[in-house]
Amino acid sequence: MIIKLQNGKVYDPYNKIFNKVKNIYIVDGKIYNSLSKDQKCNKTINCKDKIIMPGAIDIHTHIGGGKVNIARLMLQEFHNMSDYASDNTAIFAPSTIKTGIKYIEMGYTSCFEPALLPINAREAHSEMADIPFVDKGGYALLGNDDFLLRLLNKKASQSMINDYVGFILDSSQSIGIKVVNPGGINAFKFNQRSLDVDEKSKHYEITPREIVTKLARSIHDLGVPHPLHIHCSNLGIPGNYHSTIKTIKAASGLPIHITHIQFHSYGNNGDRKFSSASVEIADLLNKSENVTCDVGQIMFGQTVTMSGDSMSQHRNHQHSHPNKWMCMDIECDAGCGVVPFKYQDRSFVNALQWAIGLEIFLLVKDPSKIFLTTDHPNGGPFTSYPHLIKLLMDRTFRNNILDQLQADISKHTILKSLKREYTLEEISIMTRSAPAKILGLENKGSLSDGKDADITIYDALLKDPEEMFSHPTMVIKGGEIVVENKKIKKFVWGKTQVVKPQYDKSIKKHLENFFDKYHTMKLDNYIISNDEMYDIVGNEIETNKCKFD
Amino acid sequence: MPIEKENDFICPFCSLHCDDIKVTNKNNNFRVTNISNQKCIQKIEQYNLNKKSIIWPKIKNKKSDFSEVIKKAKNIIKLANEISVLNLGTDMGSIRSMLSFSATHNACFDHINSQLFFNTMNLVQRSGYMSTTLGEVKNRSDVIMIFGNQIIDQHPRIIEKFLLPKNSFAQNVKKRKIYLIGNYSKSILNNFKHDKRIIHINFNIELISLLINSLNDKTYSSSLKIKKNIFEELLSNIEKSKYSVFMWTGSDFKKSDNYQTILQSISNYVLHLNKQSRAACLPIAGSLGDTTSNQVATWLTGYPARIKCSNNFFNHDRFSYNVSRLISESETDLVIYVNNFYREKIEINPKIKNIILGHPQSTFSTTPDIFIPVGIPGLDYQDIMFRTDNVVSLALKHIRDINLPTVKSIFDQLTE
Repeated sequence: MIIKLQNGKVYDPYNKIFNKVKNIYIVDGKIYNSLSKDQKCNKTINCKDKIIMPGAIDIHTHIGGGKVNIARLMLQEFHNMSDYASDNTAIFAPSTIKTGIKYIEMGYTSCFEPALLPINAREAHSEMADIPFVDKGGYALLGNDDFLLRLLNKKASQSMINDYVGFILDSSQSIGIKVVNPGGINAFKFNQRSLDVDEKSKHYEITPREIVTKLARSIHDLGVPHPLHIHCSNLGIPGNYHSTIKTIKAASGLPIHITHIQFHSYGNNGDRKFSSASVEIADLLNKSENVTCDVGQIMFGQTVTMSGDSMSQHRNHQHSHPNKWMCMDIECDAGCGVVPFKYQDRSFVNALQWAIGLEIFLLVKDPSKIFLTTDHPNGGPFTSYPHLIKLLMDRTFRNNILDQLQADISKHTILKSLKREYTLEEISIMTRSAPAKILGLENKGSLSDGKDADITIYDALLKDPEEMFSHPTMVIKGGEIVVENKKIKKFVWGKTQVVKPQYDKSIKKHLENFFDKYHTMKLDNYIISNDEMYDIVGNEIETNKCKFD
Repeated sequence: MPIEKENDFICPFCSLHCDDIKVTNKNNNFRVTNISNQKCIQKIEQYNLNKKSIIWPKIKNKKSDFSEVIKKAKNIIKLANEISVLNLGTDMGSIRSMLSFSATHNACFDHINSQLFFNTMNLVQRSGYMSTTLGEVKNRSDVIMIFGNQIIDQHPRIIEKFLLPKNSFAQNVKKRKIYLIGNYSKSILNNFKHDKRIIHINFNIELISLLINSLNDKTYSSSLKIKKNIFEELLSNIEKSKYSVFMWTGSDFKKSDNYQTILQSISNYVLHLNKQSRAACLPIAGSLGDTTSNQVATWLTGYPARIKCSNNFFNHDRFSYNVSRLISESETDLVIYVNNFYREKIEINPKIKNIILGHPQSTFSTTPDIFIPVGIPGLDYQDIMFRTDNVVSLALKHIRDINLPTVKSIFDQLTE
């Protein structure tokens, strides 16, 4: 089957092509920019007045794993309030089927779960296998697991830590490693209620700095494309930008990715003791070549927060709305907390959080270093991305909303003074080529010959970016037309994107001993094999290259 | 398939899913070889085939074949107006297919133990809730309160494997205290009579709320009907505890009018303890695959059970889609029972058409219209099941070949 996308305005940032009218061909699920003489098109799609981009990639969205199911169970009264036609689960806690439908309808073709607990990986992958359309992947959580903390406590060698990280990536079928509140979740199990970057945990006597340094080094040494994905210490606490800066410096120049940086960019100045530190954070990001971030923009309205950071979530439960919540200690591996929350535009704190996120978006100069996320659903559901894009592209629209917020908020934010408006070119970089590059996705995020035919086609005549990005006219996944004229045309199932770095397999002996003594299952049953992924979990894996492969 | 070789076995027959068991398989007769807990051995080996095992499909007790029985089942389904699917326990893959069938045929989907799950779920849906997992209990707990006697009865290895293990890194397990609160038989208590870490408090479980409130108020009440010094020791140990765990299982409270109040009082007390120290709840459930069923249904539909699909919507109603009620009140005209583990007699309402997908040892109150024997996950094929704490799931193994289909394969054929 050969499809020709004719005369579309192509945005292919990987190849530095922006708004160029050209033809794109799809041959057996792959992209080509030209055909050989003996190839003939079976179908031509007129793309005049259409914008063609690679499928969008969400690098940080909570779409699978135990915490998502807890949220679904907890918030069933919101399920019936959804306006979606064939699945009435709440949009901030959607079913797997609805998750896939809503993403593909917006032109997203790959999504990554950022908090995959290795002990819960089997569930997370099984759940994500039931998300239609999109490719997916997960970042395995480390840095609060007792095995690693014991290694650090015993001053284990970097090479042994690297082997452990390599084993975890391999056995949990992950594409990256994330650390959440380094050491803090574990410390909470020992009744410690806070842990700053240079503070030793009481039980293991390890600082978050040491954990970040060792893990960032491991990722680098193993040649894993995605840098260590870091949820910094002291999430949500006024003044926490100091911790964020210390965490960035702890990486000592090694590549790192700071996630939902909005929640970690708070000062404690002013009469409210809550202020924006976006300038300080953006300044450091602009100077640091080794650091990328995603924003975790908040959106006003009801949502649910879900995080592995049980220390923070337990602290935050007093703000739950509706008044219910759950925290859990998990299997010597990590923790989780689910706290429903309503961001209110009348609230000074929430309004300033909204402004801080946008400030960071507008102050970080390079769109390939900052990624468009709401930390779904923590800052708001992923379905608000088109609205967020409009906020970035349209200064008047942004300022009109700012004017409607609590009266004195403008005294606390520089947002109105920021004249920048994102261009389509920049949006295409931050949602396509840059996420593919930072994740090491070899076949995504570009319209180069031989790449996966994950393509989104927008109506160029729509002048409102929110409208344009909400409803692509066509979405193609793996060469199949899956959305046409705003309607789902066909169900397809994506793959699970993983990496398999090289490591010394003899680490298994240490782990076997640890599992036999302290865990509640055998190591062999903890490991998810490639065959299990395909035959039982129900998802084919695609292995992306590491630096030393 | 290896003969007489020792195979690793992951037990699907209670919600702990122990994976340290070995079995030999000789001519599809399997024997547990490496554990000493007789109750567990008996529980596992009872699934060996015997003369009473039903390994052929039957239509009204008449031997049939699989193609014929599928054809007949499809006809019955075609004629039915209100189909109900009642899960008595199966694996993840099968539940995916059962839900797909339910969506196609606008059927109700329920699990036989869903009410017990709802009682715990209410805690999450109405208030704060602090929970933990078996690995945390094994390694971190210093005081464990077990309310009722069914946990140990239904999960025979829970003490040796998780509550009083040989190794535990964060606490000195030799000093751990386990309080068994309820009425225990001598036969159970005799197993622990030499272990001073296990303390039995003979107690009327209907008074648990009163006990919890008294602990919360630090005030002894003679209404508790326990000695004051026992109460004080209990209170003192909880107050000194750095990680206390409160456990129960729903089947102890099946007949209690106070179940919800009891659970809420325990949960509230745990929240209170967490203001100063660490504590957590850990309900033990899922011996009929409840946890697996709830998890899969929730991620696919937003709801764990008692759901019905109509016009492409999955709706949930604890009363309207209670399949046991629909059966007893004849509000359904076809019931499809799925039974991979259930050993009680399946109660069939003879006035309602029925199809049973069951393991070969299944028994019934009356002859089913259609019986389709199916393999057991963990014995006859591989699939995934979730452990009681909702976090750990295991890929069960395939250790014998008796050529029976899976629940999944049957439902896939019925959905076509």
